[in-house]
Amino acid sequence: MTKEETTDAKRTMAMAIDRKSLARAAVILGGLAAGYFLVVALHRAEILINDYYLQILIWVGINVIMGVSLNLINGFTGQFSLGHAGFMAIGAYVAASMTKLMGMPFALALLAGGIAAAAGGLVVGIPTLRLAGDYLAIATLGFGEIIRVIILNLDVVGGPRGLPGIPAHTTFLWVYAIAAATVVVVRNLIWSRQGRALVAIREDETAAETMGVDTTRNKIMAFVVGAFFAGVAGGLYAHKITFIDPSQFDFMKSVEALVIIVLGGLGSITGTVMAAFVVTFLPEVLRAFADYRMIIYSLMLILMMLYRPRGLMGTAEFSFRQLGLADRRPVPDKGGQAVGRSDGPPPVLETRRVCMDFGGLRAVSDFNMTLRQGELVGLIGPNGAGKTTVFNMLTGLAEATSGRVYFMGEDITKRRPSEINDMGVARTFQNIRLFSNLSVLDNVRIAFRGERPYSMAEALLRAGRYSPQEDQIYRKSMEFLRLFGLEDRASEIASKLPYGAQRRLEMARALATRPKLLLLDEPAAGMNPQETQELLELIRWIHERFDLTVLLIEHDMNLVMKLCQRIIVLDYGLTIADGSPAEIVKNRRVIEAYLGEEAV
Amino acid sequence: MLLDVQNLHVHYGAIHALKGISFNVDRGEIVTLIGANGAGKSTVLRTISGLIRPTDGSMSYWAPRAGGSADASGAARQVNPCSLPAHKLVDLGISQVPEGRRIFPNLTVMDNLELGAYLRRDKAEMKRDFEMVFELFPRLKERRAQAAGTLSGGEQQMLAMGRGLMSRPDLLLLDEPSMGLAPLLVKEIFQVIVRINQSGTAILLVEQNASMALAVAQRAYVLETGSIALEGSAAELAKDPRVQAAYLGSA
Repeated sequence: MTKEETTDAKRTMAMAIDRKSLARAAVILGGLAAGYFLVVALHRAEILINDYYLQILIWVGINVIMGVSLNLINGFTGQFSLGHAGFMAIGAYVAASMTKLMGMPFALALLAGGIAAAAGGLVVGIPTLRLAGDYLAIATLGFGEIIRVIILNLDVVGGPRGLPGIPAHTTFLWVYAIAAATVVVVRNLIWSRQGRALVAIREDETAAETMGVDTTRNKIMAFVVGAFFAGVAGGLYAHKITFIDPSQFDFMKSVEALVIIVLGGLGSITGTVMAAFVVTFLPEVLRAFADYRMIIYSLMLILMMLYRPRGLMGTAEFSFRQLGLADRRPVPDKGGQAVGRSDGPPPVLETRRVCMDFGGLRAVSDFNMTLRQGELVGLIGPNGAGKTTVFNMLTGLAEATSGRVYFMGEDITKRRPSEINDMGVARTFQNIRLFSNLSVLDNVRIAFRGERPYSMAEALLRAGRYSPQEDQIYRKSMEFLRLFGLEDRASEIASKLPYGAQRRLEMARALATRPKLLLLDEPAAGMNPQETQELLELIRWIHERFDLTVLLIEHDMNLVMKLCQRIIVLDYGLTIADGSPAEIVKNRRVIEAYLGEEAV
Repeated sequence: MLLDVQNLHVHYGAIHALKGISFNVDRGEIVTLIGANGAGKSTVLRTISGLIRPTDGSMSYWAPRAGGSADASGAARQVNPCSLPAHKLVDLGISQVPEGRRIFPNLTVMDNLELGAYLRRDKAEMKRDFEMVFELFPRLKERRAQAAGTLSGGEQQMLAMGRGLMSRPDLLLLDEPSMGLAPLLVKEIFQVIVRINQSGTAILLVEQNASMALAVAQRAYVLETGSIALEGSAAELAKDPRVQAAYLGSA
């Protein structure tokens, strides 16, 4: 195909996809409208839904917004937050003040509430998201309390007396429309480049960084989007209940949202929506039991968690695929692609007197190495010699105590792993760090990046460059999987693959970031001679095909000797030899420290 | 006989991982299982140690001790490992050194070893076993106060094996002990395996390094996609052309 034909084909395909996505949007909107009118009609006719149930449905809607937005933070991104009520409070107070005190329109007030909460999310997120796990939970818990105490002391909004007389603007239509919008927006976000980055952070933060995901930025993004919707939910809440005071937004409110997402399934929007129904309706249904209501409610929650420990839905989702309305991406065509570029044989990587100390221990000492374009170099040495530490310093996972690392002439000593990956360094890990609960395809897709990636707005609206790029990412990812003999397993969960296939997938994922330099940490570990032979051919082939410079750590001398043009030997952090395989096997020091007498 | 496995089936959901395999381990023997990745070797070990429940088949284990503290009477008691949870089997003398080491990274080397002896109350004997582990792996003694996560890969493997020995097993299940080790260390680890065996412990060894495994084992089974394809004495199998082609890289 000529270039022109290719662009033409691309354009036609993009148009076809656009038409398809328009059709899908119409179906979704139509379905949502039908749902709304069904409820309204049932209510009018007094079938199933009376006034009382309609009220409860409004609370369900508010809980859906709270749950889905919290699930984005806790379930999808894996950042345990306990401060969701704080964002809700900001939204509630800002929106209520605007309508009640300033007489602004409701829509504007809701939006302002959301934005104020999002700003709150940004302010809290920047310092706290460096924390992880329990620490983050405590920090967000503290944040929620601070918000409450600030409001308690804010006389303009009534302080502890609360803010009465808020206009009752919140109708079923408002809640329904906003809840639906929340679901659609969060779903669109999850099924995009940005969403995959979030899930990657949940699965393995270190691996995500080395795939080029800026984890801090993405975590803050999730936090801000989640806070925005919690703020909007707060606005709806205030204009429903018409009287707010700080005690309504205490820790228990955050726990309520947490119960919804844990019950529904951390990482499932469908489950969250279902759980919002259960959690809102159950106490109402149990009213007949009067005093025992809350005990029964709690017992039922415990029982549900015992029988569905991963929540109602786990991480599964309802999807159009199940209804046959599949959003089918075209089957990838056969054919090559041009990846990699060559610009003469300058040094790709250079380290100058790099040292690494752990406590008092010098793990790597004055390490000097130059890798030239296209070289295939082995790094060997006894266990504990500092080989993996060298890899960590080259990829930004560890910062050298002293010395400098240059990649393509640029100093990367203090760069973040994601930046270094962006510049063209990719790696695999000794103990395989796949995103183990994600599909094989998604593992590669996370790593994949286009030239000018689509923006978050495009992702949320499914507009602009979203569809053509997603389509391209899908095709390219499948191509990578085919190269590594994994295309038949694209939809399998990564951790279920046999060991050898997991190693291959990790290499495919690293290559999908389009590196110039590939670092392989013990690729043959756990492989038998036959598999090792296949691996050898695979590495040789990708080295050539992608025009790569390769540095590998390996103990399988058979592989190293056959594959590498040059070998560097480390022992106790010191370089004890550097030369061709033939020189290395004869080297006295290497034999003593590493190979043993009768080896090779 | 120490362990006798008959017609063992294991399913992972729809996947039929072990398709009716039968084998046995005698007292004081080293038996090795070799086979490609995904053949089901680790599954066999995990089933024996009680981490996975088989869907069919039977296992008999003649516990040389009655459980609890070591019993010198030598009266064997037959139990079915399938009917007991994994931690009870440790008490009966089955100890597994898992693939990928699975040490406790934030605890010290000493803590890791002590956890290996979690079920034991015989302080004096335990002390002797610590010395035995340190004698087998002098590197661990140097690093006993260090967090296990800061050890190198090879040292972690030594620690995992040392931890496995601390329960004083009669049957030691080793899952790829040479994985990720430097050539010199691989030799060392295999020497240690032989020494452990000489002290009376039976070993069921899963290895990718088939040539080394066959060199130390008395008997061997070749596993292919969930079934036993070949079995025999290790020396015979090492000469078998089929084994040489597939697992020894036809050296």
